[in-house]
Amino acid sequence: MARHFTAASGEYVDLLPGAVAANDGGPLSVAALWRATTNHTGSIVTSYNAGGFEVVSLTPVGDAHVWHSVGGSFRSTVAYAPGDWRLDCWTKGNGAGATVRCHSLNLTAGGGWIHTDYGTCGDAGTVPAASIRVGDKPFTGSLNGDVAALTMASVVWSDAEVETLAPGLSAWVSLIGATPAALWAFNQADVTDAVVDLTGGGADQVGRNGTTISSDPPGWSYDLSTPLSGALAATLPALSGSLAGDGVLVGTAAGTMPALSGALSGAGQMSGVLGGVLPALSGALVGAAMLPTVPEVAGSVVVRSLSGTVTVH
Amino acid sequence: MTTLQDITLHQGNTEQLLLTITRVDPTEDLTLITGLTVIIKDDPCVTDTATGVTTLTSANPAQITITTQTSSQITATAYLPATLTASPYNRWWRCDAHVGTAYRTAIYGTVTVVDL
Repeated sequence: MARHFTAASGEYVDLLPGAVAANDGGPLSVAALWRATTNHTGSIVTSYNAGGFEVVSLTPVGDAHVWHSVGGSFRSTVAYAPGDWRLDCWTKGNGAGATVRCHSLNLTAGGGWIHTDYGTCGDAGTVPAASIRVGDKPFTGSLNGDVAALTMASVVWSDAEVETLAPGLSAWVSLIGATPAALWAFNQADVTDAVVDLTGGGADQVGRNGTTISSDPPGWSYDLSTPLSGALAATLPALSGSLAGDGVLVGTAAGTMPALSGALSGAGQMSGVLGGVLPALSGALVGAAMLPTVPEVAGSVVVRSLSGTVTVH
Repeated sequence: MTTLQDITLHQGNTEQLLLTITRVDPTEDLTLITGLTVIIKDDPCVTDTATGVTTLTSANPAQITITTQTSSQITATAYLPATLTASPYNRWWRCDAHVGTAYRTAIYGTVTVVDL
C-alpha cells in the first residue's frame, strides 16, 4: 500500500523535522519513492522554518520535471512521466557551490539507474526547520500522485550507496544507519493510522488533510525483517528464550558455551574431536545389550597324579 | 574344534586336573574368557542342573584356579573332591570356557574311575 494525494483537495501529511531539523540543505540526501498521476505543479516534500520559509523542497512542476530547491534557490532536475513509479534521490554537499546530483530509477519503465548533476547550490539560511509537509505547498500547488516512502538524511550518499535503496525499506534503514535522518513509509492500512519516523528520531505525523490508500510500487518491499548482508558492527546482546526451526551456523563461534542442561533427544551425529573429559555416566542403560561372542576353544587335560616304583625285597 | 579326551581317576583319590585351553581361530582373543567350569555327570543325557551333577567353577578358586591367561592360552587347575571318585563307575566330564553367561566347551570325554 502507498498513499495517494489528490491535488484538487489540497491533501497533505504534516510531520515534525525530527533529527533533520538543523539540516540546512547540505550535506543532505533526500530520497522519494513516488508516482505522479498527471503533469502538475505540487510538492513531494518541503521543510519550513518556524517563520514559514522554505528550507528544502522537491516539487514536481507542470513542465514534467522535479524542481530541487534549498533556501529558495531553485533548479530543474529529473524529468518525470505520469503513471511511472520512480525512486529519485537528490544529494547535495555542504556549503556554497555544492553540486546537486539526482539519482533516478524508473520502477515502471525500467532502464536502470541514471546519475546526473544539476548544477551547484548553497545552503539555506532558514534553519532550523520546524515542520515538514508532504503533498501540498501553499502558493505553489498540491501533489497529484502517490508517495510510498521518503527519507531525508544528513549525509551525501554516493551513486553506489543510492543504488542499494532499490529492493525495499530495509535497505533504506541499512543505508541510513546511525546518520541523523528521518524515514517515513506510507504503507498504513488506513489513512487514520499515523505516519511515524522509522528512525525513532521523532519526525512523526502531527497533521493530515485527506489522502487515500493506493497500490504498492512494483517490486518494492516494506518488510523491515529482510536479512541484512555484510558485516554487523557492535555487539549483540545476550540471547534469551529459545531458538526454533532449522538454521545453519556458518563460521566459528568464539567463547565458551555454558554447560548443557536438560536432555538431548532424537538422532544426532557428532563429527570431529571432543576435547575435555566426559563426566561420569549416571543412570541406567535401557535395552538389550550384545554380549561378545565366545571364542571357539580346544584344549588338553592332564590328570595330575603321583607315580612311583616298588621293589620286592 | 572341541577336544575329546578321556581321563582316568582312581577311586577315592583327591585328584587335580591340569587344564590347558587354547584358541582354534588364531585371531580370537582368550583374554575375553571370564571363567572356566568343569562339569562331571553320570549320564551325558541329563541337564547340567540335574541331581548328582558336579560343577566346579573358577569363580571359586578352591574349585578351579586360573594360573595364566593370555590371548592364545589359558592354564588352570581343577580340584576334584574325593567324594567324586568314591564310587568306581564311569562318568562323563567336560570343561567349558565362559564369556559371561555364554560358553563353549573346550574339552570333553569319559571319566574312568579305577576300582582299587
